[in-house]
Amino acid sequence: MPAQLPKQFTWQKMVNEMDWRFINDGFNSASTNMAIDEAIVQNHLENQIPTVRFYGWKPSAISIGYFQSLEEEVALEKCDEFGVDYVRRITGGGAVFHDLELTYSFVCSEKSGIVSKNIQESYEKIGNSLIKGFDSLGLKAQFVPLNDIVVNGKKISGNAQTRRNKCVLQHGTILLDVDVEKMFSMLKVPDEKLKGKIIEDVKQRVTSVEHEMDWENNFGEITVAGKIDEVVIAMKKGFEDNFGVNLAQGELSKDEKNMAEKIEKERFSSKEWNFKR
Amino acid sequence: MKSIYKVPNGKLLKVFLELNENKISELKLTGDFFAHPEEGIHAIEEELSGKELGGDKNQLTEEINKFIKKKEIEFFGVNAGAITEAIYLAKNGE
Repeated sequence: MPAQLPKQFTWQKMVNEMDWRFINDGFNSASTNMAIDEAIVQNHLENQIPTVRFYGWKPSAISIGYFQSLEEEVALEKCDEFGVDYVRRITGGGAVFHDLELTYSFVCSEKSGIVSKNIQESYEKIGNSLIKGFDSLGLKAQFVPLNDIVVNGKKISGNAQTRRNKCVLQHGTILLDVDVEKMFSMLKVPDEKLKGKIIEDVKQRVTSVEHEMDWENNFGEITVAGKIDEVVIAMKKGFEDNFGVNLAQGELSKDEKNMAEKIEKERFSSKEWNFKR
Repeated sequence: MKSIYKVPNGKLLKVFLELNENKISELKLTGDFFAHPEEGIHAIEEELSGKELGGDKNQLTEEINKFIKKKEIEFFGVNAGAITEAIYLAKNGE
Protein backbone atom coordinates (compact mmCIF):
# COMPACT_ATOMS: atom_id res chain seq x y z
CA MET A 1 0.00 0.00 0.00
CA PRO A 2 1.14 3.63 -0.48
CA ALA A 3 2.49 4.00 3.07
CA GLN A 4 4.98 1.17 2.52
CA LEU A 5 6.39 2.49 -0.73
CA PRO A 6 9.80 4.18 -0.68
CA LYS A 7 9.62 7.95 -0.44
CA GLN A 8 11.07 8.56 -3.89
CA PHE A 9 8.06 6.94 -5.60
CA THR A 10 6.07 9.58 -7.39
CA TRP A 11 2.29 9.66 -7.21
CA GLN A 12 2.21 9.00 -10.93
CA LYS A 13 4.18 5.81 -10.54
CA MET A 14 2.14 4.59 -7.60
CA VAL A 15 -1.07 5.08 -9.47
CA ASN A 16 0.12 3.58 -12.72
CA GLU A 17 1.20 0.42 -10.95
CA MET A 18 -2.32 -0.22 -9.76
CA ASP A 19 -5.59 -1.05 -11.36
CA TRP A 20 -8.00 1.82 -11.55
CA ARG A 21 -11.57 1.37 -10.39
CA PHE A 22 -14.13 0.86 -13.11
CA ILE A 23 -17.83 1.17 -12.37
CA ASN A 24 -20.17 0.10 -15.16
CA ASP A 25 -23.28 1.50 -13.59
CA GLY A 26 -26.14 0.88 -16.02
CA PHE A 27 -29.11 3.22 -16.06
CA ASN A 28 -30.06 5.64 -13.29
CA SER A 29 -32.23 8.71 -12.89
CA ALA A 30 -30.69 12.13 -13.51
CA SER A 31 -30.53 13.03 -9.82
CA THR A 32 -28.94 9.66 -8.92
CA ASN A 33 -26.33 9.97 -11.66
CA MET A 34 -25.28 13.44 -10.63
CA ALA A 35 -25.26 12.49 -6.94
CA ILE A 36 -23.01 9.46 -7.58
CA ASP A 37 -20.51 11.53 -9.57
CA GLU A 38 -20.37 14.10 -6.79
CA ALA A 39 -20.10 11.44 -4.05
CA ILE A 40 -17.13 9.87 -5.86
CA VAL A 41 -15.27 13.18 -6.10
CA GLN A 42 -16.11 14.28 -2.55
CA ASN A 43 -14.94 10.96 -1.08
CA HIS A 44 -11.81 10.74 -3.19
CA LEU A 45 -8.64 10.73 -1.11
CA GLU A 46 -5.37 12.24 -2.24
CA ASN A 47 -3.60 8.90 -2.70
CA GLN A 48 -6.59 6.95 -3.97
CA ILE A 49 -6.68 5.33 -7.40
CA PRO A 50 -8.81 7.09 -10.03
CA THR A 51 -12.33 6.00 -10.90
CA VAL A 52 -13.86 5.67 -14.35
CA ARG A 53 -17.63 5.26 -14.34
CA PHE A 54 -19.94 4.57 -17.29
CA TYR A 55 -23.67 5.12 -17.03
CA GLY A 56 -26.92 5.80 -18.84
CA TRP A 57 -30.05 7.79 -18.06
CA LYS A 58 -33.47 6.36 -17.32
CA PRO A 59 -35.71 8.18 -17.78
CA SER A 60 -34.00 10.30 -20.44
CA ALA A 61 -33.02 13.65 -19.01
CA ILE A 62 -31.81 17.15 -19.72
CA SER A 63 -28.90 18.33 -17.63
CA ILE A 64 -28.00 21.99 -17.56
CA GLY A 65 -24.65 23.53 -16.70
CA TYR A 66 -23.99 24.94 -13.23
CA PHE A 67 -24.42 28.54 -14.40
CA GLN A 68 -27.42 28.14 -16.67
CA SER A 69 -30.94 29.20 -15.85
CA LEU A 70 -33.26 26.18 -15.97
CA GLU A 71 -36.29 28.20 -16.98
CA GLU A 72 -34.33 30.12 -19.62
CA GLU A 73 -32.90 26.97 -21.22
CA VAL A 74 -35.53 24.26 -20.84
CA ALA A 75 -39.21 24.00 -21.84
CA LEU A 76 -40.22 22.26 -18.64
CA GLU A 77 -43.79 21.51 -19.73
CA LYS A 78 -42.43 19.68 -22.78
CA CYS A 79 -40.13 17.62 -20.56
CA ASP A 80 -43.14 16.64 -18.44
CA GLU A 81 -45.04 15.74 -21.60
CA PHE A 82 -42.23 13.43 -22.78
CA GLY A 83 -41.47 12.09 -19.29
CA VAL A 84 -37.99 13.60 -19.50
CA ASP A 85 -36.22 14.48 -16.26
CA TYR A 86 -34.11 17.58 -15.65
CA VAL A 87 -31.23 18.36 -13.33
CA ARG A 88 -28.57 21.03 -12.74
CA ARG A 89 -25.01 19.69 -12.89
CA ILE A 90 -22.16 20.67 -10.58
CA THR A 91 -20.10 21.24 -13.72
CA GLY A 92 -20.40 24.23 -16.01
CA GLY A 93 -21.15 23.95 -19.71
CA GLY A 94 -24.36 23.76 -21.68
CA ALA A 95 -27.68 21.97 -21.66
CA VAL A 96 -27.51 18.33 -22.77
CA PHE A 97 -30.32 15.97 -23.72
CA HIS A 98 -29.20 12.61 -22.34
CA ASP A 99 -31.14 10.11 -24.36
CA LEU A 100 -29.40 7.62 -26.61
CA GLU A 101 -25.96 8.00 -25.13
CA LEU A 102 -23.28 6.51 -22.96
CA THR A 103 -21.99 8.87 -20.29
CA TYR A 104 -18.65 8.58 -18.56
CA SER A 105 -17.19 10.20 -15.51
CA PHE A 106 -13.55 10.31 -14.47
CA VAL A 107 -12.18 11.26 -11.06
CA CYS A 108 -8.56 11.62 -9.96
CA SER A 109 -6.76 13.71 -7.39
CA GLU A 110 -5.02 16.85 -8.65
CA LYS A 111 -1.87 15.87 -6.78
CA SER A 112 -1.60 12.57 -8.69
CA GLY A 113 -0.36 14.50 -11.72
CA ILE A 114 -2.38 12.16 -13.94
CA VAL A 115 -3.89 15.16 -15.64
CA SER A 116 -2.51 18.66 -15.94
CA LYS A 117 -3.47 21.48 -13.59
CA ASN A 118 -4.13 23.41 -16.80
CA ILE A 119 -7.83 23.04 -17.59
CA GLN A 120 -7.48 22.99 -21.39
CA GLU A 121 -4.70 20.39 -21.28
CA SER A 122 -6.65 18.20 -18.89
CA TYR A 123 -9.72 18.18 -21.16
CA GLU A 124 -7.52 17.07 -23.99
CA LYS A 125 -5.73 14.41 -21.93
CA ILE A 126 -8.95 12.80 -20.70
CA GLY A 127 -10.58 13.30 -24.10
CA ASN A 128 -7.80 11.25 -25.69
CA SER A 129 -9.31 8.22 -23.93
CA LEU A 130 -12.49 8.68 -25.94
CA ILE A 131 -10.54 9.31 -29.13
CA LYS A 132 -8.77 5.97 -28.60
CA GLY A 133 -12.15 4.40 -27.86
CA PHE A 134 -13.63 5.73 -31.08
CA ASP A 135 -10.53 4.47 -32.86
CA SER A 136 -11.30 0.92 -31.62
CA LEU A 137 -14.69 1.29 -33.25
CA GLY A 138 -13.01 2.33 -36.49
CA LEU A 139 -13.92 6.01 -36.12
CA LYS A 140 -11.35 8.75 -36.50
CA ALA A 141 -12.07 11.30 -33.79
CA GLN A 142 -10.38 14.57 -32.89
CA PHE A 143 -10.36 16.86 -29.88
CA VAL A 144 -11.62 20.36 -30.65
CA PRO A 145 -11.10 23.08 -28.03
CA LEU A 146 -12.57 24.00 -25.77
CA ASN A 147 -14.16 20.71 -24.76
CA ASP A 148 -15.59 18.79 -27.70
CA ILE A 149 -14.70 15.66 -29.61
CA VAL A 150 -15.66 15.43 -33.26
CA VAL A 151 -15.87 12.72 -35.89
CA ASN A 152 -15.81 13.86 -39.51
CA GLY A 153 -15.92 17.43 -38.22
CA LYS A 154 -19.16 16.87 -36.31
CA LYS A 155 -19.55 16.83 -32.53
CA ILE A 156 -19.96 13.36 -31.05
CA SER A 157 -18.96 14.08 -27.46
CA GLY A 158 -19.26 17.05 -25.11
CA ASN A 159 -17.34 17.21 -21.85
CA ALA A 160 -17.52 19.16 -18.62
CA GLN A 161 -15.17 19.47 -15.69
CA THR A 162 -15.12 20.66 -12.13
CA ARG A 163 -12.40 20.70 -9.54
CA ARG A 164 -13.33 20.14 -5.91
CA ASN A 165 -11.91 18.38 -2.90
CA LYS A 166 -8.49 18.81 -4.60
CA CYS A 167 -9.74 16.45 -7.32
CA VAL A 168 -10.69 16.60 -10.97
CA LEU A 169 -14.14 15.38 -11.99
CA GLN A 170 -14.82 15.25 -15.68
CA HIS A 171 -17.95 13.79 -17.17
CA GLY A 172 -19.11 13.72 -20.74
CA THR A 173 -21.38 12.29 -23.34
CA ILE A 174 -20.73 9.72 -26.04
CA LEU A 175 -23.63 10.13 -28.45
CA LEU A 176 -24.93 6.74 -29.58
CA ASP A 177 -27.79 8.22 -31.56
CA VAL A 178 -29.39 11.62 -31.60
CA ASP A 179 -32.90 12.98 -32.15
CA VAL A 180 -32.30 16.68 -32.76
CA GLU A 181 -35.99 17.49 -33.32
CA LYS A 182 -36.99 15.96 -29.97
CA MET A 183 -34.05 17.61 -28.24
CA PHE A 184 -35.07 21.06 -29.47
CA SER A 185 -38.70 20.57 -28.59
CA MET A 186 -37.44 20.68 -25.00
CA LEU A 187 -34.64 23.23 -25.31
CA LYS A 188 -35.39 26.91 -25.58
CA VAL A 189 -33.49 29.11 -28.02
CA PRO A 190 -32.95 32.88 -27.69
CA ASP A 191 -35.16 33.61 -30.69
CA GLU A 192 -38.00 31.15 -31.34
CA LYS A 193 -38.37 32.48 -34.89
CA LEU A 194 -34.92 31.11 -35.68
CA LYS A 195 -35.56 27.70 -34.14
CA GLY A 196 -35.99 25.93 -37.49
CA LYS A 197 -32.70 27.28 -38.73
CA ILE A 198 -30.94 26.38 -35.47
CA ILE A 199 -32.25 22.81 -35.66
CA GLU A 200 -30.97 22.46 -39.24
CA ASP A 201 -27.66 23.94 -38.15
CA VAL A 202 -27.29 21.52 -35.24
CA LYS A 203 -28.16 18.58 -37.50
CA GLN A 204 -25.19 19.59 -39.65
CA ARG A 205 -22.85 19.96 -36.69
CA VAL A 206 -23.74 16.94 -34.51
CA THR A 207 -23.30 13.25 -35.22
CA SER A 208 -23.50 9.96 -33.34
CA VAL A 209 -21.91 6.51 -33.23
CA GLU A 210 -24.99 5.11 -34.98
CA HIS A 211 -24.67 7.62 -37.79
CA GLU A 212 -20.94 7.14 -38.31
CA MET A 213 -20.59 3.38 -37.80
CA ASP A 214 -20.90 0.71 -40.42
CA TRP A 215 -22.06 -1.87 -37.86
CA GLU A 216 -22.95 -4.56 -40.33
CA ASN A 217 -19.54 -4.64 -41.93
CA ASN A 218 -17.73 -4.57 -38.60
CA PHE A 219 -19.92 -6.71 -36.39
CA GLY A 220 -22.43 -8.49 -38.63
CA GLU A 221 -25.96 -8.63 -37.25
CA ILE A 222 -26.01 -6.78 -33.96
CA THR A 223 -28.76 -5.78 -31.53
CA VAL A 224 -29.07 -2.34 -29.92
CA ALA A 225 -27.86 -3.80 -26.61
CA GLY A 226 -24.95 -5.41 -28.46
CA LYS A 227 -24.02 -2.05 -29.95
CA ILE A 228 -24.00 -0.38 -26.53
CA ASP A 229 -21.79 -3.19 -25.20
CA GLU A 230 -19.34 -2.70 -28.05
CA VAL A 231 -19.12 1.03 -27.30
CA VAL A 232 -18.58 0.32 -23.59
CA ILE A 233 -15.80 -2.19 -24.39
CA ALA A 234 -14.17 0.25 -26.83
CA MET A 235 -14.30 3.20 -24.43
CA LYS A 236 -13.01 1.15 -21.50
CA LYS A 237 -10.07 0.09 -23.67
CA GLY A 238 -9.65 3.73 -24.70
CA PHE A 239 -9.15 4.79 -21.07
CA GLU A 240 -6.82 1.84 -20.42
CA ASP A 241 -4.64 2.54 -23.46
CA ASN A 242 -4.59 6.28 -22.91
CA PHE A 243 -3.47 6.09 -19.28
CA GLY A 244 -1.56 2.79 -19.50
CA VAL A 245 -3.63 1.17 -16.75
CA ASN A 246 -6.08 -1.65 -16.27
CA LEU A 247 -9.65 -0.79 -15.36
CA ALA A 248 -10.79 -3.30 -12.77
CA GLN A 249 -14.48 -3.78 -12.11
CA GLY A 250 -15.35 -2.21 -8.78
CA GLU A 251 -18.28 -0.72 -6.96
CA LEU A 252 -19.17 2.27 -4.84
CA SER A 253 -18.01 2.16 -1.24
CA LYS A 254 -20.53 2.31 1.58
CA ASP A 255 -19.51 5.91 2.30
CA GLU A 256 -19.99 6.87 -1.35
CA LYS A 257 -23.40 5.23 -1.46
CA ASN A 258 -24.51 6.96 1.73
CA MET A 259 -23.27 10.33 0.54
CA ALA A 260 -24.87 9.85 -2.88
CA GLU A 261 -28.23 9.14 -1.26
CA LYS A 262 -27.91 12.20 0.94
CA ILE A 263 -26.89 14.64 -1.79
CA GLU A 264 -29.42 13.26 -4.23
CA LYS A 265 -32.16 14.07 -1.74
CA GLU A 266 -30.79 17.36 -0.49
CA ARG A 267 -29.36 18.77 -3.72
CA PHE A 268 -30.18 17.16 -7.06
CA SER A 269 -33.84 16.38 -6.30
CA SER A 270 -34.46 19.79 -4.79
CA LYS A 271 -36.17 22.69 -6.52
CA GLU A 272 -33.86 25.03 -4.67
CA TRP A 273 -30.83 23.59 -6.48
CA ASN A 274 -32.35 22.95 -9.89
CA PHE A 275 -34.01 26.37 -10.13
CA LYS A 276 -31.28 28.29 -8.36
CA ARG A 277 -30.34 30.38 -11.40
CA MET B 1 -32.27 44.20 -18.42
CA LYS B 2 -30.78 41.29 -20.23
CA SER B 3 -28.02 40.57 -22.72
CA ILE B 4 -26.60 37.64 -24.62
CA TYR B 5 -22.93 37.85 -25.49
CA LYS B 6 -20.88 35.29 -27.38
CA VAL B 7 -17.40 35.31 -25.91
CA PRO B 8 -14.85 35.34 -28.77
CA ASN B 9 -13.33 31.80 -28.87
CA GLY B 10 -15.43 31.04 -25.81
CA LYS B 11 -18.89 30.29 -24.56
CA LEU B 12 -22.22 32.11 -24.40
CA LEU B 13 -22.74 34.57 -21.58
CA LYS B 14 -26.25 35.67 -20.59
CA VAL B 15 -26.49 38.55 -18.16
CA PHE B 16 -29.48 39.69 -16.12
CA LEU B 17 -28.99 43.15 -14.71
CA GLU B 18 -30.94 45.57 -12.51
CA LEU B 19 -29.72 49.10 -11.97
CA ASN B 20 -30.59 51.62 -9.31
CA GLU B 21 -29.39 55.14 -10.13
CA ASN B 22 -26.80 53.65 -12.45
CA LYS B 23 -25.53 51.31 -9.73
CA ILE B 24 -25.81 47.53 -10.01
CA SER B 25 -28.59 46.38 -7.70
CA GLU B 26 -28.89 42.88 -9.11
CA LEU B 27 -26.59 40.90 -11.37
CA LYS B 28 -26.85 37.33 -12.54
CA LEU B 29 -24.20 35.79 -14.80
CA THR B 30 -25.57 32.75 -16.57
CA GLY B 31 -24.46 30.71 -19.55
CA ASP B 32 -22.55 27.64 -20.68
CA PHE B 33 -19.13 28.81 -19.50
CA PHE B 34 -16.96 27.30 -16.74
CA ALA B 35 -15.44 28.80 -13.60
CA HIS B 36 -13.36 27.04 -10.97
CA PRO B 37 -14.43 27.03 -8.25
CA GLU B 38 -17.99 27.51 -9.45
CA GLU B 39 -18.89 29.46 -6.31
CA GLY B 40 -16.54 32.18 -7.60
CA ILE B 41 -19.26 33.41 -9.92
CA HIS B 42 -21.58 34.09 -6.97
CA ALA B 43 -18.72 35.95 -5.32
CA ILE B 44 -18.22 38.11 -8.43
CA GLU B 45 -21.94 38.89 -8.58
CA GLU B 46 -21.84 40.00 -4.95
CA GLU B 47 -18.62 41.95 -5.41
CA LEU B 48 -20.09 43.93 -8.30
CA SER B 49 -23.32 44.69 -6.46
CA GLY B 50 -23.51 48.42 -5.79
CA LYS B 51 -20.87 49.27 -8.41
CA GLU B 52 -21.60 52.33 -10.48
CA LEU B 53 -21.57 51.70 -14.21
CA GLY B 54 -19.75 54.74 -15.55
CA GLY B 55 -18.34 55.13 -19.01
CA ASP B 56 -15.07 53.32 -18.37
CA LYS B 57 -15.37 49.67 -19.34
CA ASN B 58 -11.67 49.05 -18.75
CA GLN B 59 -12.01 49.99 -15.11
CA LEU B 60 -14.72 47.35 -14.56
CA THR B 61 -12.64 44.72 -16.39
CA GLU B 62 -9.67 45.59 -14.19
CA GLU B 63 -11.74 45.31 -11.04
CA ILE B 64 -13.05 41.91 -12.06
CA ASN B 65 -9.55 40.75 -12.96
CA LYS B 66 -8.21 41.94 -9.61
CA PHE B 67 -11.01 40.14 -7.78
CA ILE B 68 -10.57 36.81 -9.58
CA LYS B 69 -6.86 36.93 -8.94
CA LYS B 70 -7.41 37.60 -5.26
CA LYS B 71 -9.99 34.83 -4.94
CA GLU B 72 -8.05 32.44 -7.22
CA ILE B 73 -10.98 31.98 -9.57
CA GLU B 74 -10.14 30.38 -12.90
CA PHE B 75 -12.34 31.08 -15.91
CA PHE B 76 -12.75 28.75 -18.89
CA GLY B 77 -14.66 29.92 -21.94
CA VAL B 78 -15.23 33.36 -20.43
CA ASN B 79 -13.10 36.24 -19.18
CA ALA B 80 -13.36 39.52 -17.30
CA GLY B 81 -13.56 41.58 -20.49
CA ALA B 82 -16.46 39.48 -21.73
CA ILE B 83 -18.35 39.92 -18.46
CA THR B 84 -17.87 43.68 -18.77
CA GLU B 85 -19.07 43.65 -22.38
CA ALA B 86 -22.16 41.64 -21.47
CA ILE B 87 -22.99 43.92 -18.52
CA TYR B 88 -22.74 47.06 -20.67
CA LEU B 89 -24.68 45.37 -23.45
CA ALA B 90 -27.50 44.73 -20.98
CA LYS B 91 -27.25 48.27 -19.61
CA ASN B 92 -27.39 49.89 -23.01
CA GLY B 93 -30.07 47.50 -24.24
CA GLU B 94 -27.98 46.82 -27.32
